[in-house]
Amino acid sequence: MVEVRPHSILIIGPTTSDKNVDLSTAVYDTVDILHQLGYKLSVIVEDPTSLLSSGKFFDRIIVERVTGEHVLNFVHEYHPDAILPTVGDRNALGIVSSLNGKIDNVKILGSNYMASLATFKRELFIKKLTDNKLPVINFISSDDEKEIYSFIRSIGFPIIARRRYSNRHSSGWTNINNLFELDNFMALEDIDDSRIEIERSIRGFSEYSFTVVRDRFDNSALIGTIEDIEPIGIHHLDSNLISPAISLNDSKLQRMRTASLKLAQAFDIVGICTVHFAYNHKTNEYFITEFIPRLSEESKFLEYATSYPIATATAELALGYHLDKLKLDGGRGFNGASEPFVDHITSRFPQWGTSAQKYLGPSKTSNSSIVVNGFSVEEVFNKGALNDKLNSNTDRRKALEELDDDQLFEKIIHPTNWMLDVLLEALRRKFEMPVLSEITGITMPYLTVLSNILKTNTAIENNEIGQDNIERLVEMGFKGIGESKLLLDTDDIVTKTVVKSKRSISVSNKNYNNQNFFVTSGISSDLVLNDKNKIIVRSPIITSKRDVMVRQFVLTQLIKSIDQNGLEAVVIGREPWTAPLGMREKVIEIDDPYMEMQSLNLIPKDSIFKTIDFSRHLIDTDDNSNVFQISSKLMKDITIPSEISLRAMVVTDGNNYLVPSVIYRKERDGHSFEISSYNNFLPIEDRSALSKLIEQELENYTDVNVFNFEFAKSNGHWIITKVYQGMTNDIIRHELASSVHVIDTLVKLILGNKIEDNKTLEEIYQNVDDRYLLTIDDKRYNLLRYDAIKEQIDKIQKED
Amino acid sequence: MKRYLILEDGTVFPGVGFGSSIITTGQLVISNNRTGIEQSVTDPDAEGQILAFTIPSIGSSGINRDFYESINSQCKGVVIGSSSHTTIDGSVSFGDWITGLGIPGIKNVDVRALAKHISEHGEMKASIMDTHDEHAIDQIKALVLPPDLVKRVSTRQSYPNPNMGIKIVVVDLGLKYSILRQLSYRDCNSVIVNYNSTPEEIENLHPDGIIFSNGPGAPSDIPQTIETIKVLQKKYPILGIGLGNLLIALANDCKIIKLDQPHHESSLAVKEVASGKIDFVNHNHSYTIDQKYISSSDFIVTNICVADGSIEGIRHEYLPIMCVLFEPEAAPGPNDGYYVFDEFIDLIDSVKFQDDGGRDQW
Repeated sequence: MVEVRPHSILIIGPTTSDKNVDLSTAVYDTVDILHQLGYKLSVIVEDPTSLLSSGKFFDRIIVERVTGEHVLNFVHEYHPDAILPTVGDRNALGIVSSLNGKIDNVKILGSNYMASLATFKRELFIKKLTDNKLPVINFISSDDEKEIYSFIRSIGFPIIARRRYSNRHSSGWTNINNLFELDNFMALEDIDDSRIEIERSIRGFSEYSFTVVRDRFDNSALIGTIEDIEPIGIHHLDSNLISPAISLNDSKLQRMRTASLKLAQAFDIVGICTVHFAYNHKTNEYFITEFIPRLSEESKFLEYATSYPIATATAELALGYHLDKLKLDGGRGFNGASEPFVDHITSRFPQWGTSAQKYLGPSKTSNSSIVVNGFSVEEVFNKGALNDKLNSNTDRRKALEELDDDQLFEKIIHPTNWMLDVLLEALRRKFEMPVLSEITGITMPYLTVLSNILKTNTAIENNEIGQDNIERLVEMGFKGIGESKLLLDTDDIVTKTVVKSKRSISVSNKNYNNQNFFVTSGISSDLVLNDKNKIIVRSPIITSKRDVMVRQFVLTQLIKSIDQNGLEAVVIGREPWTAPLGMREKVIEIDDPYMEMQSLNLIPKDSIFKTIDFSRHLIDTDDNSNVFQISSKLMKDITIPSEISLRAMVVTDGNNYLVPSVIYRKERDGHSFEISSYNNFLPIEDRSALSKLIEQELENYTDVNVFNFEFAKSNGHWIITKVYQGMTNDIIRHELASSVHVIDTLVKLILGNKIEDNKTLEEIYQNVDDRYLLTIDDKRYNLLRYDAIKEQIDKIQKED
Repeated sequence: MKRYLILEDGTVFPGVGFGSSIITTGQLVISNNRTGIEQSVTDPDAEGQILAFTIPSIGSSGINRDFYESINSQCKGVVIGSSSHTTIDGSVSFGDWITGLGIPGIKNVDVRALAKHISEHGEMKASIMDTHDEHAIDQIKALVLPPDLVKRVSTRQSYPNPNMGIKIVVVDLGLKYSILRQLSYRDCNSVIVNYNSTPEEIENLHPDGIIFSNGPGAPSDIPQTIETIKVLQKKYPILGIGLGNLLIALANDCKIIKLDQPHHESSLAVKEVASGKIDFVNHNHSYTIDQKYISSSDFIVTNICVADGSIEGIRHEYLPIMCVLFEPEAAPGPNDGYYVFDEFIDLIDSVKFQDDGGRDQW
């Protein structure tokens, strides 16, 4: 039978849930490559701003709640050849597993019914693994007491147990260490109304995740390994993560690699699969705890750590490409049959929005994360989890110092997000490391790392830094922290540890004939600059999912624009930014956790055309003359109650200005409606009135800038209520709904271009785009055409 | 103590000394192995080499003496970026282990810059020293690396690795224990002999098949083994691994060339030409077989390296000879290549079957 390759693909996009991780770059890479390969793409998405693009890649953008029903409706209406669920987080797999038997010949790419279902149904997961002789934790679900006791006799203690009630709810897991505790648990409630679920306890085991890719010809490669510093029992994404997994010897690594590949084969996953393991280093027992047959936080992290283009490869593999014959941006070949090794450590440290301590457990509590690079674990600890500038570790230390030993011990027993600080304090008080390791499940090498950091901190505090121990400090990444000025004065080691550029990811492959990206991949101390003028972009630390989206969007558009305008972009951030694949060769990404780039002068000053500061915390320069602040700054704030308000983005060259996008906002019956870009519907008298207000406000500004104005209508008059200098979060909506590319316009103005004089109001409010975004209660956005939006506006106004 | 890694071309990499404090000189090899430090340091292939490991935080996983590939360490020095001071299993730390082995080491070296330098300028001699003056560089330049590396590592006396299965003679050119482990898993009754054994000595052991093992140095260093192969290949099934493969190729009028980018990586992809199947296997070789001469020989190419297209495996068209340049026994690295041993045993079995049917020569 001749197989027909899919031509039109429906992508199940991400939901807006904060629980989902940000996969916007992966989505961008996926649609970018599929578009280039000539596929007709549709996407179902809850928030089109998460696509990071103006929709040019898509044939259709369906803005709906991402559910099985809506996917099914789309399939019945438009008959796509295939569905790609791998960029849609866990929700997309749930949808796929519910579509079995309902979508006829529509192919599921990347995952399949069985794999998707097994990520939700534990019994199926266990059966499949057991059938394939893969190590899985013993599990029983039974209402027969005899069967339960017999099962426990076969596996021994400790176990975890819970009740699953007939209404499908369940109790929390209880740790049971002996027969006495089991008898008590069994006696707690009558078994009639519930089933007892029992698993072998793996509490305290170390956690690892292995990510593999597999093609339809059964060729697989291990892309990367991650280890959790915290043991099983604490959510993987609340743990501090290290890649590669440095605590695995060859035998352990190969056992888990083999099991990962076998699992991908067992479920016939064509694309990507991340497999989680629990490993007991004392007994060498190990179990597969879960698998993720889609792109995930792990794949995003590993894409950064290894430079392997995971999202692109996953999409192509799903379409049937051979692992060693993948295509990159621009049609270049890429040999995906590479198991990248790295010469550095990449770490992901979770971040919480609040400075208060949070107890950690099996449920995720963190809001975001910070990724850092280094050559030793000490270095990544110092740059990340113990970096005072990120985590206020000094304040944490002061708080912990006030605790007595018993209180501190309590904090060791019940892990919180301050665990590394708590352990540092415990080591400071000479608690024994083996005891700490036994209680916390954090292995000895990491405790030794903390002990090393402690010793070095003490040396710094006691002013004992000299030529003798300077190398040790460099090894631990202490460079540049306050007291250690000596380090900065020692030229030969300055570039060794401070600047990590991701540009030079190719070391020994230049003679390889099929365009391997890397042999040694990742960071480099070499800064290879071309002779173009540079625009330096300082990127921000992110603290929420919304921040991630704005950062990803603005940086993506900025880099694209800087490159298109003939300059070289250098993105410097306290944590690295991963550009979409197609842009990686157009940008130098520098990881500068201590904000030292300025003082090191590693980029020739005369080649820097401008610095665009998006970091909000530019602290390493006194020279602000060449810095363009792009982050928003509130200049005016008046509160006027009004049901109708407008938000306008204004770009000015200092003399003239443009209003590329206006957002119309209306409050009605406790609901809010927003429409952008409303400037196409603005009556002439409103345009004129707003322009007068803008002109008055801009009178005092003579430089290139971008402003966000908020207007309210009171007693028939427009009044300015807020003025922001710089870009607000509205930038995505303005940019998506406007035919004028605001960020590109801004870059052009920064380069010295001017807005023409004597523009008419029509030209100032120019926007010929026929796509608009409708927002209802900040939740849903609809990308509509002119007629549809006109109808919507009329409807709102009529009802009013 | 501050020490220096000095390359033959005068490039100097500063670092901090550990392990033995002696001055050492050897062939510098960049090892991109992700794991398996024990195997790499004790691999007889590392004889005369200074190994530079590019992985970070070496030693966290502990040192396991069960992973040794020979009785003792073989390399002449180690170069690393960073190391861990304790191990996950409480075993000896990497630094103490290297000290115990009496090997000089240098750490805090910018191994990325070093790897890049070697990839651009090719493999070269190097030395770990306390100073880096011109005299030191001249000394390295003048040094001639010994041509008898195989002689140094090959067993002096034959010894058995008894079992109840088919009998295999393993010609030790720098044998890794893991080859014997793989043979043991398959119940092979093997005898390990010196590289210089004569065809008669080997024939007197009545083998069912012969393995010419991996080993250090250049194939041209041991012409006598090439002559031995010429005699034995007409009579016995043969498996060549690494150096053994190169010798078999030379015995059959193929040419050997140095790789532009030597293969020293525990997980590099090879493709089986017939099926397109990709496997990740351990590589540790600087030479390959020149493609130009293959078509006029009696060999067909069975495996190629996916990354650079170089030959990784050949098979004789009508004699029962199979060869791989990669290391199918892994150690370290993925076990994707174990099938080579199975195929060799199948080859022996099929030959034995034909023998039983009345054929006694090919």
